Amino acid sequence: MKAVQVVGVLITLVQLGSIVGFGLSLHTMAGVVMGTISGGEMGIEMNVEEVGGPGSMELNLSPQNPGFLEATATFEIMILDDLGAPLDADYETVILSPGDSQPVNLRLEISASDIMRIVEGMEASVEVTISLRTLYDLVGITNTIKLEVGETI
Amino acid sequence: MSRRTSAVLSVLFTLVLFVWPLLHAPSQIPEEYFEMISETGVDLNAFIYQIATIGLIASVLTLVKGFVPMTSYIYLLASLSSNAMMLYFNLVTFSVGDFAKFGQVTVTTDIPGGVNTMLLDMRLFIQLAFLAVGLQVIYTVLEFINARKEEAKAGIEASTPPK
Repeated sequence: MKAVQVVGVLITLVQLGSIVGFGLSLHTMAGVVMGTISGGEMGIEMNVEEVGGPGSMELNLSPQNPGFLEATATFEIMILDDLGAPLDADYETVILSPGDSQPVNLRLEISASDIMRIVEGMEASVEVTISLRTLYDLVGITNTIKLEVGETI
Repeated sequence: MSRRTSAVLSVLFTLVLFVWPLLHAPSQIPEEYFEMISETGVDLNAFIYQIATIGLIASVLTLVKGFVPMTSYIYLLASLSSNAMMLYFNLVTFSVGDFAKFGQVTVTTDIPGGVNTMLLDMRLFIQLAFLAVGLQVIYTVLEFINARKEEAKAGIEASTPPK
């Protein structure tokens, strides 16, 4: 086989690999995102046990992977004060095999003084980050939603 | 099919199915969609025109390649330029219009009560595009050298008197 033919075959392999890899990874990432948003339960809940006491915030998700590739999903929830400093954060990483689904439960503990500052009008915000990696962690998407606490409660 | 016919057909195919629809797309898309997309930080108009321009330049290069001999330096230059255009096309496509982002695109949208930020990491496909174009450059040069060798061989055979 001539050198030019070998190079031609290599070009075809690289191009085919790119197209197949792009299609599969996009399908997996879109599937996990859609599966997380639309599949099963999803909700943020804030609880304050007693007036003047500490509180907690919970995020429950059921991410599923309808794609053909394994996906590593990291879910993170963070509550930030008016200066953007984190008051508390929690995260969980799950490895989702094709067709797999796993529950994710995240919990934030908010101290009584921080609850008081929020009640007194501090512009706190909640940041939820979903980070997905697939195709041996070579391709990824990170989605961050930042909401004012007033909208969340 | 001759190289010229093949080049003309290829250019017609590119212009009719790729460039023409792209150049007419902005007039068909409602203004509010443009505004909505521009709020995410993506200049859709510039993106569409960049892709259409790449298609036009690629068509011209295809025509040049079809009408000059494969042994000429113009053919080599046009082929290498086509490879460069292919790389630029990949960079622009995977970076949604801004090739300097090298496959890392951030899209920010306002949602009720907050902000949604999406970061797409497509650097792998940019690296694969560099690899493919690098191989295509090698292929082009090897093809050119082979064509020159064939031409030289044919020239020697033609000038050698029959025994």
